[in-house]
Parts: sequence; C-alpha cells; structure tokens
Amino acid sequence: MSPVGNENRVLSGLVEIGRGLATVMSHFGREPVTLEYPEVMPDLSTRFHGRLCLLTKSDSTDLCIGCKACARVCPCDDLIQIEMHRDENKKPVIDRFTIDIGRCIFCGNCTEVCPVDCIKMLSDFELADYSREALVLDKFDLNLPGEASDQWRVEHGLEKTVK
Amino acid sequence: MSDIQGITIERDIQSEDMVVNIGPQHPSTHGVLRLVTTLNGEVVKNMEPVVGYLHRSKEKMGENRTFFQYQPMIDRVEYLSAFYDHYVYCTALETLAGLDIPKRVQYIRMITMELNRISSHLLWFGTFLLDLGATSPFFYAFRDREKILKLFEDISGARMMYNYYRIGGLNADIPDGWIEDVRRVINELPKRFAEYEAIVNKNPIVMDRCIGIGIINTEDCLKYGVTGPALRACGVAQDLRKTNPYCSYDEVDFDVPTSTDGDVYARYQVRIQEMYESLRIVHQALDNLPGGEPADIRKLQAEYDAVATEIKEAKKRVIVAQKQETEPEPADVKKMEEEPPELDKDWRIQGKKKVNMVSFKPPVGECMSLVESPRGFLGCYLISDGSPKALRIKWRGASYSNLSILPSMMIGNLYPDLMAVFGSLDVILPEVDR
Amino acid sequence: MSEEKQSESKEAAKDDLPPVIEPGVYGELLEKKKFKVQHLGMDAMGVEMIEVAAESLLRVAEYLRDNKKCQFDLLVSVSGVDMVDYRLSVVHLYSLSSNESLCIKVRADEKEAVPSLMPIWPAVDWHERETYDLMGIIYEGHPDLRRILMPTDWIGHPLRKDYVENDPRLVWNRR
Ligand code: SF4
Ligand code: SF4
Repeated sequence: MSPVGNENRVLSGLVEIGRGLATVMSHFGREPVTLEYPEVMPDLSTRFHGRLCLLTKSDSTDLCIGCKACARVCPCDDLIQIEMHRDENKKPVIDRFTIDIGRCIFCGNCTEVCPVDCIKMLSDFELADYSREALVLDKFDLNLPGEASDQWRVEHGLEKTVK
Repeated sequence: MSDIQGITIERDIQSEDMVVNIGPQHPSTHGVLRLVTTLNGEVVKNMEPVVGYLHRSKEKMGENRTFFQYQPMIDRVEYLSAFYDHYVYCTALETLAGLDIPKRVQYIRMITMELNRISSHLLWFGTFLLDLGATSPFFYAFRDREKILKLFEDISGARMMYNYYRIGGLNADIPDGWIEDVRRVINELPKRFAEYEAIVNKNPIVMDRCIGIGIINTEDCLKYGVTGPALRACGVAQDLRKTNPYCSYDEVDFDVPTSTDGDVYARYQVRIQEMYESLRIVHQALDNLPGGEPADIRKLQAEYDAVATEIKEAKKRVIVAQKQETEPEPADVKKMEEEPPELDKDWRIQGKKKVNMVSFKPPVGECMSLVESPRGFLGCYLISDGSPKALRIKWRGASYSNLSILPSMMIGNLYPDLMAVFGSLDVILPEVDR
Repeated sequence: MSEEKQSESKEAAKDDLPPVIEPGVYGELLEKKKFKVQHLGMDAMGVEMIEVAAESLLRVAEYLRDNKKCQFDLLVSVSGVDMVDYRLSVVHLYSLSSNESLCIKVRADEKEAVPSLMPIWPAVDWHERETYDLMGIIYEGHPDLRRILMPTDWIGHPLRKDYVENDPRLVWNRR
C-alpha cells in the first residue's frame, strides 16, 4: 500500500473513531435507563406472569370448585395436586391444593381454563427460598384473602364480588 | 510458504498441529457449542462443531402432551424470537383444522412478530460487536431491546416466554394504550439505529475485521441449506414474507434488503436494513389495524349487546302476550324481527368457531408450515392422527443449517476471525439442539 | 325408513375405495419421465407430496434438482416419522426460482435403510445425522453417519414409538 493511501486511511479512521466517540459522549447528559432494583420496584404490567394464587370469595371462603381443569392443562406432570370431596349438600370441599412453584414454568395455561376465575397470577416475582420443600405452596399460602381478591378482580376488569 | 490474507507463514517455524476445544462454555458461542478446532499456528486446518449440549427433546415432548399443553414448550425452542415459533405451530394446526383467522389477529401477530425480529436483531447486534471487542453498542442495543420487551410484557405477561398466540386466535386482546406505546417506541428507534450506525458502520476496526472475511456465495448457501440474512447477503432476495406471503404480509409494503458481497460486513448491513424495514411494517400494520383501540371495540360491543338484549326482551314479551292470548304490542313485534347487529368479524380476536383449547383435535393430516424467522426458514412439520396429541412434530430451525456452514467458512482462515464469522451467522444454540 | 337409509349409507361407506388422488404437477412430470412415484395428494398447506421407492430415490432427486421445470435447489428439512409398522424419511424441498415446495417420502426397508441424498443435496448432512440419531433410519452412503444431538454412548433412538424411557442399561438411569 502506498504511503499516501495509508495516510488517508489513518485520517479517515481517526475521523470515524471521533464520530463514534462523540456519539458515546452524547450519552453523558441523558437520563439513566436502569432501575435501582431493590429500592425501586419495576413497573410490571397487570398481565405479568408471577406467583400463582387462588382467589377467594369476598368473604374469604374458597372459590375453587375442584374441577382439576388447571391440573389437566399444566405442561408439567403432577405439578398441581388437588384432593377434594363433596359435603352433605354436594358442595365441593377442597382438602388439599398444592402447587410446586419450583417446577412451575409460569406459562399461564392454568389461569386460562379455570371456569370460575379462581387460579390467577400475581405480579410477585421474588420467590426464592432456602429449601425446595418451601417452594411447594399449599392452599394456605395460595389463598388470597377476600379483600385482596376483590381488589385483584377490580384491577383486572372482572366482576368485583363473587358470592 | 503459504499466503493467507496477505500474511506469509514460513514453513520452517511450523511444528505440529494443535487441537483446541473452543467451548462448550465459551462467552462467544451464545449458548453451549463446542468447536473442535485443529490449528496450524493461527490458521484453522480443520473444525468440527459438536452440538447437542442443549438437547431438551422438544420433539418428543410434543408427542406426549396435548396441543395446548405443548404450547408453553414452544417458547423454549428458540427463545429470542418465540413469537415465530408460536406462529408456525399455530398456523400448522389452523390450516390442518381449516380455521380462518380474523384480520385483527393477523395484524396483531404481524406487529408482534416484526417487533420480535427487531428485538432479536438488536440482541445479535449487541453480542456480535461485543465479540469484536466493542462494549458500548452492547449496552445501547440492550437498552433499546428492553423497550420492546416491555411492550411484549404488557401484551402477553412475559418478556421472553410469551405463550400468547392460540390456535385460531390470540390469548387476549391488546391492552389499552398499547398502540400508543408501540408508536412511541418505533418513532424513537430510528434515531437509535442512526446512533449505532454512526458508531459502527465506518469504524476502521470493525471494517478491518469484517470486510472480506467469511465470504460465501449462493452456491455455498444452497450446499449447506443456509437461509435468511446470510443468504440475502449473497445477493438472493429470498424472503418468504415476499415470495410466499403468509399472515397479512401481502398487504404491507416493504423491501427485502440484499447485498452482493457475502462477507461478514454484508450480513451486518442486511440485518441493520432489515430492522428499518420491520419498523416500516409495524407502522403500516398499526395504521391499518382492523378495529383499532380495544376500548373502541368494547364500546361498540356494549352498544350492540344492549340492542341484542332489547330484542330478546321484546321477544319474551311477545311470547308472554301470545300465551295470555292478548294482542302483543306492535312495536315489540317489529322489534322482534330485527337482526341483532354483530361486530365486524375481522375485529375479533378469536375465529368464528371458538376453539376449545383443552380438547382440541385436528383432523388427520399433515402440514409443513414455513415462515421467515430472523435467522431464516423456520418450519414446523406436524402430523396429526386425529388424537389430541401430535403423531410427530418436527422443528426445522434455521440455525441448524446455518451452523453447518461454519467449518467450510473457517478452514484455511485465521483463527481470530472465528468469532466475527460465527457471530455474523447469528446462530442460536437452543434452536440447533431443540 | 331413516334407519334403513343410515345402514345403507354405512354399507356404501364401507365399500368406498379410498378416494382417488389426483397427481400433482411434479408427480405428473416425474411420471412422464417413467419414474415410479406414488401420489399422496396435497398436504394442508397445499404442498405436493409424493412417495418414491428407495431404489429410484437418487435418480428422482437428481431430476428434481436439475430439471428446468423443477429446480428444487434448497433442502429444507429431513424428518423421520415413525408410523409404528414402518418408518418414513420425509424430505422437504424448496425452489428458490419458483418458490414452490415439494415433499418426498421414502419408506425405510426392514433394515431401516434409505439411500442418502448426500450426492444430490450436501445440505442433508446434518439433517440425516439427526434423523439417524433420533429415529434410527440408516442412510446408506452417508459418509459420516454418527449421533449428533444425543450423547455418543446413548442406547436407542428416542423418537421411535417403541423407545423405552429411562432405559436401565444407561448408567445414569441406575439409581
Ligand atoms: S403456570 Fe403453567 S406450569 Fe405453572 S402451574 Fe400453571 S400451567 Fe402449570
Ligand atoms: S381450574 Fe379453577 S376451579 Fe378448577 S380446580 Fe383449578 S383452581 Fe379450582
């Protein structure tokens, strides 16, 4: 390569690097786009696929009718386990309802098929725990109290009170 | 003496060949890929990709799950552009079952797919330049990709594993205000792309490392089945969106960017141009979205529902009057004959026949649906025997074929070019291994 | 009366032969050239499907690649399908010039063997290795037929319907 060509190359290279640097420098004055996470919580959408919960009626009694539709559509085997019986009035009583959050892939299939809009998702994503056993949530952990359930329903445009 | 790219290697200083294992855990392989490379000094003498580290038997999973159960698994086949995977899967089943898809669904699918293409190309852009040693573009690309992922989170509830398309429609309509958000983002992105181009396009280091490296031509591409931007960078304007239009791509106007050089730099330029074209498609699709804002549709639906209930009540009154053998009110009789107005069927988010996802059974048959994913031809070959589970689901990932060309591109070239060449192919390993 | 009709129609349905399948464009072309092909009609997407005997596969493939009217130059995929009694190797082709697709099916013989398409489309290399790995179809003439996705010491071919899951012969399943 001739020395003249080389000189041109060096010059244009310097100009281009200068242009790139100017673009980089122009970022100094801009607003930061990152969040200081534990202090500032991210603004999540209402459809966020977070921890599963069971909504309850307004008086905090079970809404679930034990139809097991959610367990059938779940892509993971035996992830949702339901045991139920019917009392003397043929009303369903849920004896056991466990979800293994450790194996859940948060796909939202279960929330779509529930006939009574009972199993739903919260925007809670901080689910880490110290043991695997603690990740198996039972009915006590999953049930959302009546007031919170009502609030959830209002936020997501469902009927407010379910009797 | 051998002369490679202007560098002369003395035979004298050469000793024996060295075998280097690049990967499986290597920051530049974007996944788990092992390249068994035989080096002669700096020159690659032989290379053998070893894949399969990420094999999760997605095809077998499809055979022992119902179609609805399998749907969340599809996201994981190729997680950077999961909307495409869902699209091929849903189209395969929809064509098998003969469902017609409302226009609104097609447009929403088109918008999300094109945004997905941009987000996938942005990730490629960032990591490709990171492999070349530039750090700032990585941050910029991820910053802008985050905005698109936020849009996806609003619409589907997840940033990467969307599970949003359904057989015959969508999971839910777009949320209120989403269209405005998309407009805001896509109006801002061209400025950002211009910034990227200012940093990278003429940068002497990038040019030296990209121009004239990893040259392939059309014959090579066909020999290895390479498709997508790598094929278009060889001068073939092959884009399934144009040549075999699916969804509603025949209703939007866009170009297929090509380049004739076939080197790393050409592939870079084709992808950058593709992002601009995707923005064009999103703009048009938003403008022509049938039905527009979901709030408007809801309002209209409420009005129509009110009319329908009126008619129903009139009917009831007439029947009661007939039972009591009295003359029904003439207004009621007139009302009874009216047809309740219906929402334009193009505005729905589910086809006319609502598919019961849980017990969906397609008829016996088979189908190969192909789409143009950000990496090339993405296909889903689906055979159904009429049961709620598939007989066979085969994924044709573009990366699988695109990766197989890597050895022939590298043999005889310098080892330091490997990451530039490999990065320019935009291979994503989960799609290779499935 | 109606019952009689129903039973009649049922009988008629029993006697009905399978519907005659119209040959597609490429099937007809091949038949004119005296190749033995079996027409399978169109798939749901309107892609023509043909079945070819293993002996004539290579000649058919060469014709499809080189003939001016076909020019199937891009190999899209090779998939193995287990039909329980026999196994199929399904090849999907695409033509860059006419933008048409074609699907060729080849039945594997008792020894699970099918001629390799390597001489015609070198792109089948990894696809045939994958089909061998997952379905156990042996491609005769493939220069380097090894497992690709599964570990090299794996036993069995996982996509077969008779595959035993958690095979105790594999070390990691002996717990
Ligand atoms: S979110 Fe998905 S994986 Fe989790 S419990 Fe529901 S269906 Fe199962
Ligand atoms: S689908 Fe709903 S009602 Fe049925 S068992 Fe699950 S949570 Fe209960």
